[in-house]
Amino acid sequence: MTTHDPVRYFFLTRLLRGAIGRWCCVCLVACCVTNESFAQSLWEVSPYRVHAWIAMEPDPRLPTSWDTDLPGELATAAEIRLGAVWDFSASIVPSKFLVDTLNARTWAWEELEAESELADVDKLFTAIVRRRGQAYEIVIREFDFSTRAWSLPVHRLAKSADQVPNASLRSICVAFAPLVRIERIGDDQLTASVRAGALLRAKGSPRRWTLPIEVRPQDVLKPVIRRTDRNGKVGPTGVKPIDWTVLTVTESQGSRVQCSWISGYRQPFRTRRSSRVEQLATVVNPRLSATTLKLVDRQRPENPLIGYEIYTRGMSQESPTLVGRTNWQGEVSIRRDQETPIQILYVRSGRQLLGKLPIVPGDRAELVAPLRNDDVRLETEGFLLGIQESLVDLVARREALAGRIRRHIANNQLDEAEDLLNLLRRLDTQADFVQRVQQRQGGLTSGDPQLKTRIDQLFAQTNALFQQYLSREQVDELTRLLNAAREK
Amino acid sequence: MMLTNRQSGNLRSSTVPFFTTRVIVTALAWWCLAAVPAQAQRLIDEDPYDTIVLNGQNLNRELQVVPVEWPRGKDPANLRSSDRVRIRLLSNPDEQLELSWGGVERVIPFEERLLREAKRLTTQQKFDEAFEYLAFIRVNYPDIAGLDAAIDKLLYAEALGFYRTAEYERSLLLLGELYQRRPALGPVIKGLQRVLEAQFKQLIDSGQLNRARRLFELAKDRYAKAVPQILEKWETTLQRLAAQALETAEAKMADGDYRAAYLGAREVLEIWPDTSRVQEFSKLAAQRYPLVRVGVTDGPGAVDRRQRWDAYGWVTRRRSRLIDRQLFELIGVGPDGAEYRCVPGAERVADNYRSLEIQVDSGNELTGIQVAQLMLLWADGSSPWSDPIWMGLVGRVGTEGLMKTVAGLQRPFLRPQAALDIPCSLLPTEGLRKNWRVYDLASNSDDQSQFTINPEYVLATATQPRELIEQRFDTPQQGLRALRNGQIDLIDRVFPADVDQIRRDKRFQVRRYRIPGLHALVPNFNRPFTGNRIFRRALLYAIDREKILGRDLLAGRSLEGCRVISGPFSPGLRSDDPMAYGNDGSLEPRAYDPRHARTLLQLAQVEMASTGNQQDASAPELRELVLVCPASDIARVACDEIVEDLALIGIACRLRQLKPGENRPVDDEWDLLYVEYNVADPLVAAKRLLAHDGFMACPSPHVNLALRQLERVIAWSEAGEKLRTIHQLTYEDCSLLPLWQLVDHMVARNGISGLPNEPITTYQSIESWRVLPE
Repeated sequence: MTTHDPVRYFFLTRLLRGAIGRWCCVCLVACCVTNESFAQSLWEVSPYRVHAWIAMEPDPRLPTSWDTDLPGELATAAEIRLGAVWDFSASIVPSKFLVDTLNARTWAWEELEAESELADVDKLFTAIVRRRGQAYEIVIREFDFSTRAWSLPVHRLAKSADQVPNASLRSICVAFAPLVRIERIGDDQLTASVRAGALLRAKGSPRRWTLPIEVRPQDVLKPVIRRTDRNGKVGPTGVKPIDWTVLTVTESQGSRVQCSWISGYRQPFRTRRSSRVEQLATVVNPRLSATTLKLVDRQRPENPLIGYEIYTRGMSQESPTLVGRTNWQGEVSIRRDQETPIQILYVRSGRQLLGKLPIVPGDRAELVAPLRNDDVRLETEGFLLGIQESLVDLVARREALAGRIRRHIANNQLDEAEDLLNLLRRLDTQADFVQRVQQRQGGLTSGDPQLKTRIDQLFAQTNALFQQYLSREQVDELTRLLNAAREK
Repeated sequence: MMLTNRQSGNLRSSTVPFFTTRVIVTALAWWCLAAVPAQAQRLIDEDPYDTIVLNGQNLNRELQVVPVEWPRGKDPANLRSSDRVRIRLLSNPDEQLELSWGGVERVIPFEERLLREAKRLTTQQKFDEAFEYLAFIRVNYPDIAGLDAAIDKLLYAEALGFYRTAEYERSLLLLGELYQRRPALGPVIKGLQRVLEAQFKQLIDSGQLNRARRLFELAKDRYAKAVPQILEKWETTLQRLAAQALETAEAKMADGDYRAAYLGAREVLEIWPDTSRVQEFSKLAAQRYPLVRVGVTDGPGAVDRRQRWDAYGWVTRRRSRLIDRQLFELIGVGPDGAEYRCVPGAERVADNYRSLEIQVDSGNELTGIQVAQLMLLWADGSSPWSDPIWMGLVGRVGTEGLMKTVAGLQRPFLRPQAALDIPCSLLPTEGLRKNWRVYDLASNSDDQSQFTINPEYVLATATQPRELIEQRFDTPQQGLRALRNGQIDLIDRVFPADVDQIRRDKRFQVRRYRIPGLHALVPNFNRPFTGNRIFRRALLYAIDREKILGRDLLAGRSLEGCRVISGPFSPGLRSDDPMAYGNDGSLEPRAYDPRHARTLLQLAQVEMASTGNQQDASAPELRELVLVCPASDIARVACDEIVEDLALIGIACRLRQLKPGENRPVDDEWDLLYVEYNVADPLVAAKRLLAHDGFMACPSPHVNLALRQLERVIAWSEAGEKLRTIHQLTYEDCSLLPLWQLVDHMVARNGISGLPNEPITTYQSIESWRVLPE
C-alpha cells in the first residue's frame, strides 16, 4: 500500500481497520454536501491519520498503569473532542526509540517509515511525560510524513495525573500543523485545498468548535514539493521545502483557501501540473522568540559571510530597516514580532542587494542562507567610491575656479584670470584618475564570472564619470575666452 | 597739525590671505542667515579715516576722508594756503577730489580720535575696552604723543579698582607692570606697599601660609628696594609660623598620625624651608607616609574599569591603572612596535602565531585556571565585557597543570597580547578582584578624589605612595601655579602651550608620554547630515586645524610630534617611529578651505534632497549641530574654535559638555563628538575604534570589510598595507574627522622618583614611585 493513491488507500485502510462507523460518517458528509462540494477531492474529505507515541520517563512517581491505560485514554479523549477529522491512535513508544525520545532527539524519516506501526500515518506525535515537582510535564513534538519535517517541541504542565491525557491532547493540537495542497497558482495569489477541510462543520453550525486542522485567514504556511517516482514512491530526495517562500492565507471558504505568497525566488512553484508532483504547505506556528539567520559562502559553506547588512521589512511596511550586520560567525538574530509574523529580509553588501529572504522568525532556531561571497566586489566598490569622492571634490573646485575666471574676464582683469587658469590647469586631470584606477584594477578580480562582470561594470561606470566630468573642453574654452579678451 | 606715518595699510596687507577669505566667507554666511541685527560699530573696528574740518567760509563742514597722502611728503602743518590736496571721500572712495588747503581749518587724524576714545573709556572705568584701544594704538601708531601717559593712567586706575574690591593679586600684577615702567613714581610705591600688606594679611588670616611665603619671595625678588621694611617684618612672621607648624607636626608624629605629620612637614617646608630640624623630620615623615598630590584639570569623575570605552578619554585612561591591573599591559614601544607585559606571569606566543601560553607566577594569588576563566569571559558573546576581536580569534582555552594557561587561536594573529587587555576586575571572586586592585577610592567629589593603598594588592611595594590625592583645577594655569606653590607634587597633563615654560624650571621633571594623543571628531552616523559623507568632508574643509593647533593649543610654539593628521592612526613622533606603520604618509591632511567647504555643503544638501525625493521623503533641514565636548581643557579650547569656524560657513553649532569620566553621551542627541584616544597597536585599535560594533560604530561596509581583512593578516608587511588601506578608506569616506596629534607631558617635582622616561600612562609605574621631601 502506498500513500500516492488516495482512493485505494482510503478504501483499504477503512476496510482493514474495520472503521465502518467512521466510514459511514464520511459517506454521510459526502451525501449531504451541495453540488459545489462534489468537486471536493478525497484530500478534503479524508481525515488525518494521527498516531501518538508516548514515552514515560523511568520514574517511580509515574503510575505504572499508564503503560497500558494512557494510550487508550488519549485515544478516547481525541475521539470525543475531535470527532471525524482525525483518525487517531496511540501507543507506548517502541523500546528502541525510547532513549532518543526522552533525550529530545529526532530520527530520520527513513527510520520512521520503516516502522510498520506507522505505515499509513500522516502525522506522528511523540509525547514525553515526566514529573516536575508535584506536577507532570508533557513535551510534544510532531513529525509530518508528507513534508518529512519535525516541529519544535511544545511544553505543558499538568497539575495532577488525571489531567495528563487531556493536557497531552491539547498539546498535540497545539503542535499540529494543518496541511494544504496547492491547486492553482497565479501571479501573486494561489488557491489551495485544506486536508480534511470538508469534514469541518459549517461556520453557522451550533456544534461547530475550533479544530486543529482548520486553516484561518492570516495563517502563515511554508510550502514543500513532493515528487514521486514511476513506482509512485517518494524517494530520499523526493520532498524538498521551497526555501525562502512563505504563504499567507487571505481568504478561507469551506475547504478552499486563497493565499498570497512572497518568495526570494522569481518562480518558486511549478506552474505546470503533473500527477507525480504535489505541492503542499503546512501552517507555521512560530514558538521561539527569535531565529538566527546564518549567511555562508555558497561555494565554501564552511566560511561564514561576516559583516553583511540585513534589512527587514514587514509585509505592510514601506521601507526596510536595518536589523544588524552578520557577526564573526555570519549570524544575525531576527526577533519574532507578533504584529508582523512574516519578515522579508534583504541582504546587502555595500550598494549591492544580494538576496531577498522572506522568513517567519521564531519558526526555526537557525536558518542557513548560502549566498555569493561579495567581498572582492565590495572592496572594488569601496576603492571606486573613494575615487568618486575625489572626483566630486575636483569637479567642485574646477567649477568654482571656472566661475571666478569668467568673472575676471568679464571685468577685464585678465592677469588675475590667467593666474587662476594656470591653477585650473595644475589640478588633477582625467589621465591622473585613470592611472590611479588602473594601478589598482589588476588586483581586484574574481574567478566567479558573475562577480567579475559586476566588478567590470563598476570600473566601466567610473571611467564613464571621468569622461563626463573631466574633459579638457572646459580648460580649452576658458583659454579661448581669455585669448579673445586679450585680443580685444 | 600733526601727522603720523600710517601703518594701517601695511597691517592689513600682512593678513590679507587669511583675513580676506574670512571676510568673504563671513559675509556670505551673514548674507545667508540675514537675520542678525546690526550692532553699533566701535571706532576701533571702523576703517581708518581722517577728518578734515573746513573753515568758516566753507560753513565749518567736516569731511571724512580716506587717509590722505600729503603732497610731496610734506607735513600738512607746513602746507601753504595755495597748495592743493588730493582727497577721496569715505562715502565715495573711487572718486578723487582736489581740495584747496586754504579752505581747511584743521585735520583730525584717526589715531588722535582713537587715543581720545581710550582716555574717555579709562575715565568711565571701562578698562578692558580702553586696554583694547591702547594696545591697538601701541601696535599701529606707537609714536603718537600722550600714549605712555594714557597707559600709565589706565594701569593705575585699574589697579586701584582691584584694590578697592580686594582683588589684591590682580592689583599687584598691574602695579608691578607700572613699577617696571615708572620705578620712581611716588604713587606707585605707595600703592605697592598698601596692596602687598593687604594681601599678606589676607593670606595669613586665611591660613594660606604657603602662598604668603610665595608672596614674600615675589616681593623680595621684585620690589626689595621699594618695600624693605615690609619684607623684614614678613620674614619674622613666617619664621614664627613655620616653627609653630613644625611643633604641631612633631606632635602628630608622636601621636601616630603619620599622614598629618607628613602634610605638616610639607607645610613647614613651604612656609620656611630653613627652619631648623625640618629636613630630617620631613624625610622621616615621607618614609612613614608617602603621599602624592596630583593636579588634574579633567577629572575626577567615576571610572568603571569594566566599561568598554575607557581608552577613549584621558581621565579613564589615567585612572584605569590606578584602579586595577590588566592581564596584559602595554609597557613601551620597541623597534618592533608596542611591547606588552603579562602582569601575573610570563607569556610565550607560538612561532606560527596560533597559540599563546601564560605561565602564572606563584605567590600572586592567581592560578592558570583563573586566567583561563578571564580569557573565556573575554570571549563570551553573552557577556557585556566580551571583546569582539578575542571572541573571533580564540579557538580553545585550557590549562596545563595548575599554573599554566594555553589559548589556541582559530587563525594566526600577529599580536594576541594586544587583544588581551582584560581588566582584573573581571576576576570571578571579590577576593581575587581585591588582590589585583591597586588603590581604593576612599572619597570622591567634584574637586578631589582620594585613593588609599589597597593593603591586599599583591604587587604592592614598600615605597609606593600610601595615598594619592587627585586635585582638580579649573584651568591649566591654576594647576601650574599650585605645582609651583608646592600645593601639588605632579600634574598629569600639562597644557601643550605650557610645556616649554615648565621645562625651564629646574625644580621639576617633565616626562613625555610615549603614545601620542590623537584628537578627532566622531560623526553620529544616525543623523542625516553627519551621516552624509559629502557633508562630513565639508566640515573638515571648514575647520582651520592648523590654526587651532598652532595658535590655540601650542600658543605659536612647536612641540615635537604635534601635528595635524589625516587619518585615524598616529603618524608617530618622528618619521622613523615604529608606531607609525599604520599611517599612510602620502595622504596629506585636507587644507583649510572654507570656500570649498561651502560648495560641498550645498552639494550635500542637493544630494540629500534628491535622496529624499527618491524615497518620497522631504529633505532634512540643516539645523543647529550638537558638538559634544568632553571635560578636558584641550577639548574645550578646540571645540570653541571649531564652533566658530563652522559658523563662518553658516553651520550653527552648539556645545554639549560631558561630565568628567564620560567619553560619549548615552543618548543619540548629538552630531559630532570630540574624542581623544591612543593607538598603541593599530592592529587591534583599528577595529575597536572604527568597526560597526566599535566605539565609532562606523557603518561603512568598505571600512568594515578592510577591518575584517586586517584580522586575517599573517605578516607585518601585510598588516601595514591593510592599515594604510583603512587609512585611505576613512580619508575618502571621512568616517572620522581627524584633527591633530598632541604629544602629552606630565610634570612632577624632583622629589618624586621612579617615573619612567617615557610613560604610557600617568600611573604606569606607581609601584616604583618614591616620595622624597625637597
